[in-house]
Amino acid sequence: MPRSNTTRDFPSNWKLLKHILALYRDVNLVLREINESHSINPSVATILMRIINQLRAISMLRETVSMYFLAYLHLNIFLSEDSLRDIQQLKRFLVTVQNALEKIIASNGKLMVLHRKDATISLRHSAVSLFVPDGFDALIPSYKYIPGTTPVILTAPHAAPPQSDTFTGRLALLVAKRTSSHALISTIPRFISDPNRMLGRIWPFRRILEKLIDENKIRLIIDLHSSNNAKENSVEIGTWYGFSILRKHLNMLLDTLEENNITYTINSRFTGGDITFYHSNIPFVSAIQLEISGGQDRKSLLKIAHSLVEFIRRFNGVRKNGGIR
Amino acid sequence: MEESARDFRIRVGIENELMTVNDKGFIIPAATLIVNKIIDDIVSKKVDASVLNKYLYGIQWEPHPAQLEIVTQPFNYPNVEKNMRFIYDYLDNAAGEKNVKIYLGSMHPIQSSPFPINGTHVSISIVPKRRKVMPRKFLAYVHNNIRRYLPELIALTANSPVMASKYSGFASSRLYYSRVLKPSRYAIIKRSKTTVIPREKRALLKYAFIFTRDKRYENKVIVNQIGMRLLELTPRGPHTNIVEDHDSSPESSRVEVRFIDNPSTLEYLTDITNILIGVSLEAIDMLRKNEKIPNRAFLSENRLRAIRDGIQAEFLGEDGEPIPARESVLGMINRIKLYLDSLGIKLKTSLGDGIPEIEKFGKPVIVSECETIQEYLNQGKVFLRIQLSSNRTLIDFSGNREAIGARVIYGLVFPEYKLEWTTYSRNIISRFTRIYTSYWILTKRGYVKIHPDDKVISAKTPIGVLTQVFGSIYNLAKESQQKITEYIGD
Repeated sequence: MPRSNTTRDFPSNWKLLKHILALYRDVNLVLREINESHSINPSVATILMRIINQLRAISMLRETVSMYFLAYLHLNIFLSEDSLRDIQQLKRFLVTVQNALEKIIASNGKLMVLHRKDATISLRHSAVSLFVPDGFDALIPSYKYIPGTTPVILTAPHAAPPQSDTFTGRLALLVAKRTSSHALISTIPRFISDPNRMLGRIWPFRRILEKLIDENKIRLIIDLHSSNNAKENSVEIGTWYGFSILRKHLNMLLDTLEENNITYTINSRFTGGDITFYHSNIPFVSAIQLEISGGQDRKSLLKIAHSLVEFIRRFNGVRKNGGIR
Repeated sequence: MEESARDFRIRVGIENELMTVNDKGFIIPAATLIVNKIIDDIVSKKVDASVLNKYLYGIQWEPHPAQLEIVTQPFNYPNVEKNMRFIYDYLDNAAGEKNVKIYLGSMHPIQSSPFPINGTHVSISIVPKRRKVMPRKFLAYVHNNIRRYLPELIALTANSPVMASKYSGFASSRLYYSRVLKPSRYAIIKRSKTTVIPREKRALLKYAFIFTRDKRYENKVIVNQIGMRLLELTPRGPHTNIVEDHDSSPESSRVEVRFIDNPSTLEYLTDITNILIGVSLEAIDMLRKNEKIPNRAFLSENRLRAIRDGIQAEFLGEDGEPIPARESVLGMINRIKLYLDSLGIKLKTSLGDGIPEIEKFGKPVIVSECETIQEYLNQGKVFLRIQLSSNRTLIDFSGNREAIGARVIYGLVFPEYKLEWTTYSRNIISRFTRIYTSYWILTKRGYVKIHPDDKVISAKTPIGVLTQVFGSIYNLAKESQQKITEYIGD
């Protein structure tokens, strides 16, 4: 009878982490070299060879460890067939890898952090990690897109009933119109596909989000949710343990909420779903999940909408004044 | 025994874990929806709470948001089927109103890797009519006799052969992969000293243990030295050393059987409880005759064989000689027949002939449209370069369709599953019968359906792709080094 491997999906964490740390160091070194010389310097060849060897060593740890990288890294990295001859493209690739590696390190090499109770991530059975139900093509595109002109996008992945996050679709629309931001609203219920889970990454909602981020140089994703269990007139903010947004942008949001007498908590119950986790890996993109109390009256809702409008305007203002990286 | 079997009050409690799924058969976190619907029904008096209370002890969503746990009241043994039918019918209505379906099985054929896992727990209480509670000796004897037949009972009830879209190689994947259930040991009754700490104060204790003057000597039924509750088979109640049961009512004394995979029909569920009643009565008869229940040799090995091969297993007899599991199961059924007859119980399903559900209805049929691709996916090689065999349509992320011809494409391959099932009622799925897998490829621009005659040119794991990307950067660095060398050389 085969030995049970239910308790550990991965090689002992220290082994994996050792390689990941080395990888992180080397990716940083390559990035530094490229930043200094603005070209691919021959001196990075040795470091690159080390990176390749590290990756080979990691793949030897266990078969399933490869899927681990699929969970943390960006799908576009794997799908892109363009060679990275352009220096900007190369830097972008390295920063994305760097961001993902930081998250692996922060999660102590465990996938538990990602493994939400209702998510389906199976590393031992990679074939079922990402799948769709029959009739998938009939469900495309499954979202509504409202184009904008500013580098901000509001997403409402659970806007469609049943068990929808009430008013998030309308809120996204309202705020997007007032701020000329983009908005992406899911039109299929989460019971068919939940765009805020790893499984949702292959669905059009998430693919188009990734495309919009690229094409429109989006810098801020505001992922809107609502919860009936939340306190009235309050917002629960998820920043994926602080990894998904810069502190100064978070402070900007907190200031606007305080000015409008809206109470908030940060990373308490909701740390952020897969949208916040995954899309914030892209260089210069901040992502934030807002869980707004569901039982809002119209007045309270407008107050929250007003705060979001204010926040986006400040965010754009700071950007215009060159205050953003 | 014929007379004496009727001298007992035999009651059965059932804890049935179910799964909420959507209309395509996939898991959805909708257990709270069903529970809230039931609460609404009670509050709005749409359902008479006193009627519901006759059947149900409680309903909970746990531990997975798609798991629905139903706990029944203790039933008199002849009412199990009728009462469970009432509960299922009520759940069917509740699910229908919320556009949700309920799946009765232990493991989802796709979304199980291995969690969430469901089981059926049967609690049996046999109380002499002149007494109020199940005596300690009954607890120990019933436990030990069920434990003695553990391999046979597992072989007869194993019903979870598919996991993560594949045959797992186990008749009961649930028991093999369960992290919760542990085997129990032979039950003994031990006089032990107990330090009584009131339940409400236990959580406040700063110390691992304390000595108080409040000590008692009690006879406890012990199957696990540290009083663990989550065993495959456990005597329960205040006469055991289970910490959680310390303050429970003596009337709750029972033997809890947790190793049973969910049956897909009520008839099978009823027969399983009847077989357990028969085994329990045999135990009590042995107690009456002052016979000791033997501690079976090779129990652990036979248990594993039953989990793996089910009724097709080959057990090891007392002397190590091989015995076919079915023969062993039929032996058990013959031995308990006497007791079942005395209660007027007839086994209605194939279990009486030693044919488990998994054999009667067959395993779900797994069909893959393209075995080669499935093989790559199983190896974690999800990024494939494919030569399309015919003209194809690319569906972009906005839903636009474009003819792309029979070209070579590269991307992430993922399966599309179509599930077929049989139903208990309109909104209750009893078992999955067929899993059909076809495949899509996600390219940078959109989705393309893969056909069985398309040819895989190359396949890579995510690390493989990453290594390739870094390899191309390495080549660039090498190229620039070469240019510098040439320049200096010139």
